[in-house]
Amino acid sequence: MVFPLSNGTDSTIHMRVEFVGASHTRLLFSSIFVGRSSSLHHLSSSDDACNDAAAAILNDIADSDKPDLCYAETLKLLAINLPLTQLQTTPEHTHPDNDSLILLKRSQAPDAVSPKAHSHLVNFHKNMEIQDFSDDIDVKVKKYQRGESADLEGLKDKKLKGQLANREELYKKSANAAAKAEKWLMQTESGLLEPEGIEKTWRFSQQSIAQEVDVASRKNQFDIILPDLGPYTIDYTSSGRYMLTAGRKGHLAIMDMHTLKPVKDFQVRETVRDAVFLHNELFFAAAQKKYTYIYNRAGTELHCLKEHGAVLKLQFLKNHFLLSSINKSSHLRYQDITTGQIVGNYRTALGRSDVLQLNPYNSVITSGHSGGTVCMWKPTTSTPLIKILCHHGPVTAISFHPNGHLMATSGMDKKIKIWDLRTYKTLQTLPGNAKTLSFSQKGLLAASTGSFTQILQTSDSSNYNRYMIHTMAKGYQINRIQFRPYEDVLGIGHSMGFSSILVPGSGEPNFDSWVANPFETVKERREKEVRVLLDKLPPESVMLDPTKVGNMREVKRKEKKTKAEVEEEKAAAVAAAKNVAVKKKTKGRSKPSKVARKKQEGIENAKRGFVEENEGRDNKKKQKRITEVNELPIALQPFVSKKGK
Amino acid sequence: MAETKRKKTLASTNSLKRRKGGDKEKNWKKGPHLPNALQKELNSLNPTNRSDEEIHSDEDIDVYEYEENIPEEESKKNRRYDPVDNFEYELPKDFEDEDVASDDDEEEKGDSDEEKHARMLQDITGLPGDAFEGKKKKKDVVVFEAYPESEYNPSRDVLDGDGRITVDDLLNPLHGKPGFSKIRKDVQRMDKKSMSIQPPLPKPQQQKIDRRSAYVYSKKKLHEYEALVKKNREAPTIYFDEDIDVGYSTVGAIAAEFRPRTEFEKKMDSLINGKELSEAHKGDGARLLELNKVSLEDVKERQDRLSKMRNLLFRHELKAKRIKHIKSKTYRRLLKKDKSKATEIEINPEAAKELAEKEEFKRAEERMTLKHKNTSKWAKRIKKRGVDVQDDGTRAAISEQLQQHALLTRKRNSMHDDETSSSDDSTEDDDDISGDEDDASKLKLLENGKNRTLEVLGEDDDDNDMPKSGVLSLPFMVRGQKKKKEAAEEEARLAFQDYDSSLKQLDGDEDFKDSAGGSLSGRKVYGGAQKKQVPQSKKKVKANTDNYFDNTDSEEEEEDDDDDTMDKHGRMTYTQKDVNIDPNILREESEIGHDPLFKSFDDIDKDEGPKIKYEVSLSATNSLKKKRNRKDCNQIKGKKSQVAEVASDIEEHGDDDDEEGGGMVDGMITSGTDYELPSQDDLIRRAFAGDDVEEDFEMSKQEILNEENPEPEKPVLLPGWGQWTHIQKKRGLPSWMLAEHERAKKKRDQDLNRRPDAHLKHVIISQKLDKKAEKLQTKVLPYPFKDKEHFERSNRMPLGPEFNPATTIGSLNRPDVVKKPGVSIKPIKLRKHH
Repeated sequence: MVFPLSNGTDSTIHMRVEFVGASHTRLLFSSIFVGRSSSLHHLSSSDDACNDAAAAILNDIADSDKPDLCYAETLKLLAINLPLTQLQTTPEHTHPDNDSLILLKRSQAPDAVSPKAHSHLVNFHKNMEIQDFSDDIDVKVKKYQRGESADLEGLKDKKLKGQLANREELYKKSANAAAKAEKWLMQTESGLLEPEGIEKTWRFSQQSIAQEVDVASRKNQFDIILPDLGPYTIDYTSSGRYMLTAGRKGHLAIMDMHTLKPVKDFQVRETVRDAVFLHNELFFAAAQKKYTYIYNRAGTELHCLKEHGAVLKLQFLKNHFLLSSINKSSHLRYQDITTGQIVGNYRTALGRSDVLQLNPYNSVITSGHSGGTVCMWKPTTSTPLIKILCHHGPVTAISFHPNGHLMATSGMDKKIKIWDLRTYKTLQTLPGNAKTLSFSQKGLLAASTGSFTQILQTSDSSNYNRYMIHTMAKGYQINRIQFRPYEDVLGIGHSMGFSSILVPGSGEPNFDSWVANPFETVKERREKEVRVLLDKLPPESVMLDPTKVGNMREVKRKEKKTKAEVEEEKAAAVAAAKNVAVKKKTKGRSKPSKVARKKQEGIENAKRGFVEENEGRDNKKKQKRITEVNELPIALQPFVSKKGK
Repeated sequence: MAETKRKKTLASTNSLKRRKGGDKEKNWKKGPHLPNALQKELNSLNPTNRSDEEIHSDEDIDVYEYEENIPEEESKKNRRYDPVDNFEYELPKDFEDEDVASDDDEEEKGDSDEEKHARMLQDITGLPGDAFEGKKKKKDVVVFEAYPESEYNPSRDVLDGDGRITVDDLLNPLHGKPGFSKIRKDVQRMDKKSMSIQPPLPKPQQQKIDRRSAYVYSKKKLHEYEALVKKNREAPTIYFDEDIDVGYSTVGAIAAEFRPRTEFEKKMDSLINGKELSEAHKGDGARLLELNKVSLEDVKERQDRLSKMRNLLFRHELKAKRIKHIKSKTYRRLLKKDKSKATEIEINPEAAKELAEKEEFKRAEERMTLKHKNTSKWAKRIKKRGVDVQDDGTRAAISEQLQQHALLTRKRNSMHDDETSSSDDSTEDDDDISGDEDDASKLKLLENGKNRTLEVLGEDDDDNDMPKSGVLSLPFMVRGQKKKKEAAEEEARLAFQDYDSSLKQLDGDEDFKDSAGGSLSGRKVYGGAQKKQVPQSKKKVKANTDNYFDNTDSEEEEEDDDDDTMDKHGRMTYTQKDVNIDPNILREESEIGHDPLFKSFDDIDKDEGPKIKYEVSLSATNSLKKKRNRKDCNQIKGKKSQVAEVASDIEEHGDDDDEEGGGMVDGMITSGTDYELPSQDDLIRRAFAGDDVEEDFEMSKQEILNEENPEPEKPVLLPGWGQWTHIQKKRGLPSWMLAEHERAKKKRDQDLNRRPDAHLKHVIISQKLDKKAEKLQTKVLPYPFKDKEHFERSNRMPLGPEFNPATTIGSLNRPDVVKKPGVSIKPIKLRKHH
């Protein structure tokens, strides 16, 4: 039985690699190298890791634009940081490779490094190359290439062909470099439960897990009993560092999950139906009895959002800075929290709904309704983008896989369904009730009803099987479950407080500090806030397939032409009429005057088509009005107001 | 003279011809022919003039010709004229007409013969005519030597080449000079080896050849560039002038290099960088003061200016003084008026207040003194005498006075919003209330209000019968009315509470007994009891934090929620009456809502304790009543199974529930005491709640489809049209109409099939375009692309630094041309391959 957790005691020092630009390459690389090697010294169990790291860096350097520049620096660093004894332990590979040759040539430059080190450096490189050929890297490269390149064979335009081929080459290079870097940047593997023999993963209780894991992880198993203030909902910041809990009877609290200390808790003495964090832990919104409020971390009320009405459920679109809510009268609202503008206000017209979930992949908001329908909304259209009939009964919960392709819904019809959002078909229908659902970053699905929680796992994202189960104390009614990002932890908000349990393999083991950093300092947070604000997306950019931005618009139907377009067409038609070649005719018929007249006629004919189109509408209106007057009895006709005419 | 001239020309030509041809051709004479005798005589007279040839020619003539007599004056018969000694004709100095070709026929004839011969020869031999002419060919030019032959005026011979200068001629003078022999040798050699030089080609041909060779050359040259150009063309980025050092470009650096050029600049420079100034700056700056001299004129000017200003000021003061001393009242009044107007315009609140106070004072005075109400002696007297008797002026004065009085005493809203004014405004009901009995009146008032509200409440409770027919019986009207009524009720209740509380307060104030408060009315028990109980219960909840209470609280909450969901079900099922019941499904489905429901209610039954509150139960009954009402409505409605209706019902009900829920948080509510277990019918309905969902969804989808692609209208003819006879009727609609309909239908089907959700029964994919998002996509392919796929694929990779490693980010984002600003681009230089 093994329980490696994603973020356990051997929490590797996460070095962020900043790829800024060619000019900075040298500096950054060297710094990275220092960091990496030192971290390896701290933690490394094997020498291979060190070697690999060095090789990776060298490889990066070889790929970089100005390898000669940074080479000397790096080599020096290498010489300092990695003892030669360690270097010598690597096995010798003889792999004829061009890159290594190049490296050799370049290695003539530095004088500070002994020739011994040189040979080893080359060896690292070879070592690396061999690993590159593994299938693993291919998969990664594919991921970073983001799809196949177009077929350039049939392209006739040679110049374009050349340009595109060039681009593709660059893309490939970039993807390769990224894939290679991934190996060194994302070193932590995700955890898992490994049964031996006839053991079943779902038989492992939290207690047995607790015995196996380290102290830091054990800390994440807790129950906080707050019996007074009703069922709790929970929400995590995107980094998973802070947790917001909201008791139905007015208890709001923020907790730092690293220190397990409350940052702030206070009571609003009012029903709180939902609470979400805004873009960082400093602000959160709470849907209270009558209005929605925005508080800061200190519990100070900053705003009262009256336009939203009595909100049942809140969601925050962090890339767009939109706070979306659905209220009692089932109005879906989007409010831009940076400007305070109400971006969208749409009547769902499908009955009361307290199910609202954000698709993290494309920021499409999904609402579940009592008729069993699930609607997907974007902030700028009044009609739902997609409307799916999911259940024969009210929808109770929705959740989205982080990759955006899977949606899990549960309904009162005692079914949990998993949908493929590319085809809008059910992939799997599971039996059982679920009051709340949650997908983890790694794609585990948690469903809970009553005091019972079930965690499902899949190997191929189509067939979810039971992975773990957890039962709360009897009588506890689970209100909300949510996986904590970047941790193997599932948070549970229930009627008697909130708890958290360990679910190995649920969280993403490697975080990208550009996306979310659990160890963020105040300064980093401030900088990030500015950056994120600068990168704020306009509300209309929410679309089902976000990769479609910048592509060709699909013209589905004949669109009504704009005035400019009509004008353009008219001009073209007139020009065409002017340029009509006159046929040579028998004598007397092609007199210049006649030809001119004919041409003029042609032009006028061309113009007429457009004129009629435009004036036709006006005529219709006029006719209608006239008939209206005529319809009146004669005696009344004089009394028709003249204004109308 | 003319005559002689002609003759002379003739003679010369003749002589020339003879020399040329040397033949015996006839020389036809032209012009005025002279008789032979006369000519003889003439010749004899002028022997120098004519040669013998002339005579010879004369002899040859054997054809008779008319010969004109010589005029008398020429005959010299009588010798009347002096003989001319000099027969040599001298041309005037300005004569130029040298080369006049003779246009005489005779000459032409002579020529023609000669030419004929030449042509003949030419034809026979095929050689150019020049070959035969040889030396014979002479220019037919008459040259008159106007100047004596000299160095500067070479003779005709020299020009024509007879006396040509040869190389020898030129050499001869050099004879004996050094180098002569060498030159002579060279010349001799050249003479010996003289070879023919090809004549140069015609110019255009020559140019053509030149161009061709130039083309070939430049082509070859250009080919050398080809590789370079190709390389540049294919390169993703072209770098220009990488190695040029632009140097620093800071403002300071540029300023440092400044050299004064214009006059002005130089002047400024000399001033600024003058020796004196710089030196003065060098020391402690004391010398700067020396430089700071002011001219006498400047000082004087300044003084003048100041004195002028002072003078002006003084005059102004004088003027003000004079105005101050003016004692004219009208002047003052007018001034004041202006001022007050100004202040009014300013709308200064302070001033306005003051003004108002003043006016108030005036009014008070007026009311006190009644000065303007004909109380003066004068007015009294006039009254006594009768107003009608007075003259117009007096009457007008009196009326004016009265008007002023009216103006001053008119009731006005005073500035201070005090009680008196408010009492003025109050309705007639309160008129009889005096100030002394303030509290009592309040009491009375409150009670009045309370009674009224109670009445209203009672009415509401009683008047629950809705109209069974008419517009008001329509479901939405009923609902609306009910809502209104509820709101009113709520308001009334609130008002009632208000009254109560204030009553209580009053009681407390006046130290009345509680019983007295109670004795006010029996109705008060309702509110009073409630009022007392609420704080108690609150206290209870707060004090008892043991499990018991908490449990109930939470369970109440749950129950509430369950109730909520149950109601959703209930609402939905009311609308479906005739459903086929499948017992299996029933059993399965009923579990869903059933289990938690019963559980929770059981719990509640157990926990139901002493905490039953009046208001709560009232509201509960209310809601039940509402339910019943709604049920009735539904029955009236029939079996409409519109989703929207159901939804709205749920919505409303949800609202009600939540209000209760909200109340519950305050710790006041425990509800559900008179909850009835759902009947079997209800349960069945609930079990099949979702059954109709599919149909509804399909309907809504159909609706959307129809909206987007409306179904084609059925073809119809005008009524009565084509229905005159049986045959026409039988024939039915014309075929083209049917065909069109068919086509429209087909097209619609095709359109529907093209939709992405055509084969997904349970999905509606909106086809509406988002106009705001249109700008995020292109409408037309950007230029070099011809294929959509190529374009889109080329776009797929993000280019930001967040998505790409540093090794490639530079090359991914490099511009097409890299050049330094301010550096001109030089033409391509060909570099030899190394």
